[in-house]
Amino acid sequence: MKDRRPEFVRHFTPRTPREASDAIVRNFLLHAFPARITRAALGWRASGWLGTIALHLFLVLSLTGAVLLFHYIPSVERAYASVKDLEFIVSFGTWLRATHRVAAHLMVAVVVAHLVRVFLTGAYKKEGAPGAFRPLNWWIGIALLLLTFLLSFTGYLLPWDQLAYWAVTVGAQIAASAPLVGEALRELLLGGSSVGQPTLLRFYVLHCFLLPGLTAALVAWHMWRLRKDGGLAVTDRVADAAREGARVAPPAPGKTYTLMGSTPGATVQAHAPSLLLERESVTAIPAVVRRSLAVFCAVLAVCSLLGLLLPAPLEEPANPAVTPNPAKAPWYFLWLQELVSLLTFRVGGFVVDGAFLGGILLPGVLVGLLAAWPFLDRSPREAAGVWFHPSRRRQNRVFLALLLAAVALMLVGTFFRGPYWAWVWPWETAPPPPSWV
Amino acid sequence: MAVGDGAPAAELGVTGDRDEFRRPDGRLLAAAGAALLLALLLAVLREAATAPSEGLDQIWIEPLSRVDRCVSCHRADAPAFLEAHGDLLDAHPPEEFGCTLCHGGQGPATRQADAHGDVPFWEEPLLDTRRARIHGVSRAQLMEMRCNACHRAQAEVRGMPTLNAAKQQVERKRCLRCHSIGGEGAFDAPDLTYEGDKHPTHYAFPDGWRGPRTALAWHVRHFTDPAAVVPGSAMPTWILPEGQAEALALLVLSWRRLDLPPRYWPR
Amino acid sequence: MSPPPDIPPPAAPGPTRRAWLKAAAGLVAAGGALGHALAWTRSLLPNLRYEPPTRLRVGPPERFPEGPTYLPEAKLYVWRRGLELRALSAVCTHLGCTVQRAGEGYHCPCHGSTFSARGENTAGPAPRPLAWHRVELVGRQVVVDLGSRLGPDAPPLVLGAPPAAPEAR
Repeated sequence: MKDRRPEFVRHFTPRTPREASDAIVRNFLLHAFPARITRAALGWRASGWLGTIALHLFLVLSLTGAVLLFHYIPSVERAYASVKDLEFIVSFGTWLRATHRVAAHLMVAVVVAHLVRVFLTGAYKKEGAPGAFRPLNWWIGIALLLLTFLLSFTGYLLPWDQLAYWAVTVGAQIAASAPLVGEALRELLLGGSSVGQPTLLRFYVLHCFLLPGLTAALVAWHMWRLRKDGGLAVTDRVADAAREGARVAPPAPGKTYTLMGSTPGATVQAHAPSLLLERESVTAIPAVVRRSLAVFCAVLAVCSLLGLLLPAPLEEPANPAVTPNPAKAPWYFLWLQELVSLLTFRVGGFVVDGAFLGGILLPGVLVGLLAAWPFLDRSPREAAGVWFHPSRRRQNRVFLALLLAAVALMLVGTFFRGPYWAWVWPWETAPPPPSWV
Repeated sequence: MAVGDGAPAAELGVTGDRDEFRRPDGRLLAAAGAALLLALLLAVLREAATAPSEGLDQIWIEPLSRVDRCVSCHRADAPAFLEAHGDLLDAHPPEEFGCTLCHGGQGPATRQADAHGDVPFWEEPLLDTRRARIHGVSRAQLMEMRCNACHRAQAEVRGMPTLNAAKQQVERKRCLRCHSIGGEGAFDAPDLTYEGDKHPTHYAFPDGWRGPRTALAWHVRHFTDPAAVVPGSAMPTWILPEGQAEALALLVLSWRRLDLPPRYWPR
Repeated sequence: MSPPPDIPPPAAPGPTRRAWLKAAAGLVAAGGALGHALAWTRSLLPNLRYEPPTRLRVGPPERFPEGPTYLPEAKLYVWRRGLELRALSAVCTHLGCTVQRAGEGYHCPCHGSTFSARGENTAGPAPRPLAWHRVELVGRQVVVDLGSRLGPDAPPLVLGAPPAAPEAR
């Protein structure tokens, strides 16, 4: 039967693998996908689809952010009022802003979860297929993690409320505690010696143009590298199994029908690894495209619903004369805030500055360690793409311990810190701040 | 493996592959789609529920960079409105002064709780009867505090009996012998020119403070017993007539920095 | 005529010179591009700022009664003890939040640093004491140099005995 649908539609329901891969190659959006993908890589278990979810969150953020851009005015006189207007007189403005904020929080969480997954499955390991070099993608991933934090931090300033002003004051002071370049770094960030109009404009440009552009470029590179490295690390294991199967599989019992009649013994069924691998895989169309679409819709739905439930806060307008008490960083920086408030200590007359130690040195060492880890990890190549491989037990434990420590500090900062950063129990309620009348 | 659909089935491929992803992904897509529709529906319902029944309206006062949306619910041409304001409107036309400049409240807000300003993070709530009662004053007295932000230089203003009396107290008690107000007076005690701008968090409430934790309550206490809130205070304890401590506290809090174009200055 | 045998082959200087030129060209281009990037980045560092002056006129000396006077815009406590005037910064030396008076000393709301009445850091993460600023009398005006960062023992501005005010009110 002749297909009457126009050409650009037809390739979405291919009838042969050839048509399926043709459609991938011909379509600009789809050509990011491989022609075939192993069942293991497509499943939820190998990756949790966390990278895709992070990308979809970035898409949701770009879309909602693009709409918000039409409403926001990056000037210290009008920024706060324009956000108030979003809350009060723009149709669906409250929802849009809350969705954008929820998606931003989720993106930080999911990007970190993605990194944890990649670590626990050893998917960054340098021992891969010929031509593959997974550490490069691990580094791109680390850069994307830092970009996610930066995007979130720059977005924090834009409402120009007390939360924004003091978070950035503290953040800039941490930057200034870096040796030698610290003061210049702060000048560069703030455009002056304190948070003001130049700062707002800088953060606006960074948040809305520079950082998203850089993120999009790195995401593209990240996905391209994934293809070059042969797909998810679990694919290497599937390929191993296929090779193994081809080598040791005993001839299948059965009969072969030949011209001579039936012959007992080996069948002529294929044992070539490539063919076995093909059996372990499906064509990207429709499987990957379908699942990606479903995941995108699920991500958007979750953000939308949470955006309805969790309104974005907006505190008093920025007031340089009054520091809120306590002044808390966003949750994902609270462990650092806890560290900068704990880590100042004295050795004799020498004072070690907590801002430098907790705000710059320690995060710097952690990022450096992460970046170097593919070359410090001595586990065998079979450990890549496998959850909790026995040979990686010790490093997984250390990694998880550090992660839990950071989470514990975040919980302490969120629930156990009251006015003057003093310890409070969650059930102790501080008196409401005094007011004028 | 499905066989028998004609020629393409002979190849390995889509039509031939075992596609165990079709069902779960189809379900996920359907569920996500339903959730998307649900979110949209809820958003539309909320939008409809929170919109003022009469539609949105506002008074935009460009020279003051202020906007008051109170008129979405409180129409500025209703007979009750005109009656309540009387000839005040002659000198203070709503299109030039708006509402919140005198009444307090959150001008940009469009929902009642937010607009009346008794919400976290809004520092100038509506000066209503309930708020006045907390401090043992009347609503009119509380509002005189706002009037006097502009009328501070006038000794006697019609319709401001409480603060007129308070200004006489300032003369009678000779506050300027120690304090400075608006560039006049002495500096043996804190300068009070912009005392109303001092942020509430900068007031020290003594332990065991009873009553509202407000700057107004603090000043009332301070006028009746200075040493009770400022240990070692050099300020004398005045014997004030009934209600004068409240009047003086309102006067002190009315002294705020205001940047108004000259045509807004009182006469 | 055949050429003398000791003439070097004509091709020899070519490749080395070419390689040198190539390297030089690459270096120049890279340097130029890098220079552009640096120049553009330099443009982001302000040469003048729309900020209050660091030498701040805070008024005549009589303006400050005995004890502390807080100037919120400048984040400054001006202390008067008899005829001595001192200026203490209210900016926490940890991460720049504004400290508040708590009892005799000061307390930072951000990370819980505490300071003594002399501005010395007594607890919490603050690495240094609060800064005392140089206070001068210029004409009839007290001027605080916000750029100076002195210790608790910085010399105060000592006012002369109050004039026996013939023109007093």
